[in-house]
Amino acid sequence: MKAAAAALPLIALLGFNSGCGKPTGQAKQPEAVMDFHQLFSENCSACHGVSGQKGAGPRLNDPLYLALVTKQDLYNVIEKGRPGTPMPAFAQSSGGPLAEKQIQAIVDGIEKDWAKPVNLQGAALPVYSIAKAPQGDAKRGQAQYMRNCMMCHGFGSFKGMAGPITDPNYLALASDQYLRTTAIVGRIDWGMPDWRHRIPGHVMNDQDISDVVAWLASQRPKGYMMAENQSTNNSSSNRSGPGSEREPKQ
Amino acid sequence: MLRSVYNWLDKRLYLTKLFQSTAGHHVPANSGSWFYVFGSATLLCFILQIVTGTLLALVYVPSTNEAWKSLQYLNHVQYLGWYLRALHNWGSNFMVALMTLHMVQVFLFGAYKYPRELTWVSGVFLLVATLAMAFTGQVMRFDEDAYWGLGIGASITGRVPFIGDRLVHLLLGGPIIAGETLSRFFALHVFVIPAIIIGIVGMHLRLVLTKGINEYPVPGKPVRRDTYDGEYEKIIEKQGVPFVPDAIGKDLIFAALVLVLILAFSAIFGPAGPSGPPDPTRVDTVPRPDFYFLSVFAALALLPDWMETIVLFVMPVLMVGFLFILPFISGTGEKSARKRPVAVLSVITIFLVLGTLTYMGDTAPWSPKMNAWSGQSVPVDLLQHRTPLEMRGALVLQNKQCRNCHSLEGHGGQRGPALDDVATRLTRDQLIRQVIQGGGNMPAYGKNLSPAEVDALVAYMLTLHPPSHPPARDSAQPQISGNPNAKERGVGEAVRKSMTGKSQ
Amino acid sequence: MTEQTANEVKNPTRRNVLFKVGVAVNAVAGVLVAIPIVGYIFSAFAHPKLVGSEAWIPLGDANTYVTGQTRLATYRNPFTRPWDGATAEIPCWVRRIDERKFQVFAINCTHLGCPVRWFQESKLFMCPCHGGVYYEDGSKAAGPPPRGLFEYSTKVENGKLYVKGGILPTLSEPLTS
Repeated sequence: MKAAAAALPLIALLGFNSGCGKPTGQAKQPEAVMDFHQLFSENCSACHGVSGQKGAGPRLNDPLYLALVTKQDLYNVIEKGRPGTPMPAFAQSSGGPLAEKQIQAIVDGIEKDWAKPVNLQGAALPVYSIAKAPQGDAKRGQAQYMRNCMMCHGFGSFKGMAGPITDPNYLALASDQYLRTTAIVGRIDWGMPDWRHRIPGHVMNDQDISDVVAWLASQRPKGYMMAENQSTNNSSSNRSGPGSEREPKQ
Repeated sequence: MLRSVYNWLDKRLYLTKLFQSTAGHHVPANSGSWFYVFGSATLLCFILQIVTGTLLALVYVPSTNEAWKSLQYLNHVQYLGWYLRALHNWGSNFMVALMTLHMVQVFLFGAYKYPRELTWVSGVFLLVATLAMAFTGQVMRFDEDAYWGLGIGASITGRVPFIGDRLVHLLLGGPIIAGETLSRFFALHVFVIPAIIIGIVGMHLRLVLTKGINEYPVPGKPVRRDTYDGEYEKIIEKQGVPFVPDAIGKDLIFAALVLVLILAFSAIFGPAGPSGPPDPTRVDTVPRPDFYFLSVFAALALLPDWMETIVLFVMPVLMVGFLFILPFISGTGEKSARKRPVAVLSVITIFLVLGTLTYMGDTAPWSPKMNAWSGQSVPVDLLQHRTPLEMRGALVLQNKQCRNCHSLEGHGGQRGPALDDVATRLTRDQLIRQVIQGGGNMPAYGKNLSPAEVDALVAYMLTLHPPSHPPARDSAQPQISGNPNAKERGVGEAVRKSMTGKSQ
Repeated sequence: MTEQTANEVKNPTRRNVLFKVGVAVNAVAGVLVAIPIVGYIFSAFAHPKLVGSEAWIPLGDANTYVTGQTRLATYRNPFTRPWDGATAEIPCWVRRIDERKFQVFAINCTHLGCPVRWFQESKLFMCPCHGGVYYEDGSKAAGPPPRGLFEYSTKVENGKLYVKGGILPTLSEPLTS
């Protein structure tokens, strides 16, 4: 009896020391977060969608896209952003919030969770980078547009169900690289097919894609050159585009 | 044997006399009520705070370099350190709550009236001192909230006219928050204010003894200066009982209940913080004050700018000043709350105001959600069936941090209006103007958006309306028929022209 | 009462005199004790400007700041004590306007001193406490702040950027320019 009475406070003490209110860990520092899902949800999901798709920005949960780009491409874009496009730089060295290893964690997570072997069914994977792609021909591009895109995106007074991509304001906000990537992988999450499945029995080739992009770029009004295009495409020296207008004027 | 020891002691220490004049003093029998237990419970909390505080001081290091680490040590290494921190935290919460209840009870029972004015006034001093303990205690938990809390304190102090800058130096112990600041607050929290409280509590208790505990008020029996003392003497004569043991029973039971509750709350909910380290270079922080000061925090967000300084300095003086003079302006008359509707209504109003402000301070709808732009996606149903241009507009909406202040389907900041149905409220021209020129507490984005971005953004926002509710339209213009696409382009060009025109 | 006092003055007893002398010397001693105590506590008033509490502080190589961008920089408080710990490191926002022109803003919101955060995309500073917003140039954009961001004086010497700092800027003591 006495022993029990003595043990009771002891048990209570031990119980307290493992009580449910006992703090378990320290408040985590932002740089200490290494979990891909948390990183993605806090930094990327706003534009790329909750699970990497069905967002306003490009789809990342897309095996085809991930087959197209290298891990280094992903890393570079997250690190430095795409200047002149809505993709901001996330590396601390570029004024962003993420440490290098966190960017690596995001790249690894994207590859691990979403990259899958793609069955190309015999079709060749087009070149990703606009710098390495064949020179496009705008004239032929128009024909390609009529053939591959017009049914959904319309032309002239014909309005397609997906809405126009020849709108100058749209083109001002879509870099050539973005147009090329989208022309290749489509937006399957929103119903836009990839380069193999636009018309039955017809697969666009590298040249077709370059041509379409060249034609779309030619539809972009003068002075609407994206900053990203300016850096990759030196043929245009027009510098009065939106990129420069962003600067405060006196 | 025991008796003779007691007698020996009593002859030298006058214990019986001491008992009779203090714990054994006679009180009105009807003051042994459940309503009269809050004062003693507050005192109990204070004693618990002294005990737990002293124990924490055995480990805590009051240095800006070490304080946070020693808190971590208390939480994770020191045996039961976390529990002592929790007890000190919950003890303070209970103390503030019980003190408030005590004060409300005293006010509603008219106990501050003649001849107990000084008891009330000393109680008001205790209220101020306890709130000072709450603020300095928040600094002792030297984490990021404490650091920026000090910054807020300094910024408020810096608004004092003429001598504000020197007061800031006095408060911080230098021109900037650093080592001396914490030492200073430690001295206040551990030596100065507790000593003041102990002194005033002594006076408070002595006044309770000399002027007697308030009898349970009877409606229709007002206090009159010339007759009250005699009436009270009669009450004590007729139905006076010794406080110990006849009237203390409920205090004891309530005291035990409070202790058990503090123990339980501490075990279940644990200590408060510390949050991140007090490193000012971590700017991704969202400072929030402790519970007691959330109402002030809220008031500072909701007041018009020009009123802030006035309210910060004039209001507290007025409120505390009013509490001080209360027993002198209504020192006589009815005591019972049943006959004092204004008193009851004021208490209800004050608590509704404080409650609302605290709730708002907790939710802080005026604060931008700093991570919403990168962490809150556009709901899928608000992206479906949008044109490529509108999709780009949604991207602009995210990219330009609009979501930090505007919500979609409840997610995002609450500072500005929700955008779910913005198209039913604003026409295209109004949207363009709002985005470019700002206004109504929204920054002007004209410099930071290209014409194409404005166009895409507005095109997207025009799709934000419930299917049953058509978008707003300009009543001065006939509805456009024909190709809406052409119109879009036209307005886009107009925007571009107006913007380039402005910037030349 | 006055009669009595008058009487005492006329016929001072020994005790009376001793008491009065005792009170008087203690009053003098009390004042003497109070001088260092009050002086110690209110040194902020005695020396309103702690011996040059603001000093020129290097913020590193000017070329690390990219033109057209705003970056977080930190400096070490010029008057630190060894036990200051992390609080000695003070953050600030550095905006490089062009080759020569810099603007350096205090981190503290002018409303209540909370740390403002820079958003590169919208080119705004936002405050997490009460929603104060500032433009790129530090001027007030929205919310309750009574003025624009506090701005340090800057200079570039030998390719290094310097700011004049060392105080917590408040409305009554903004940074001297």
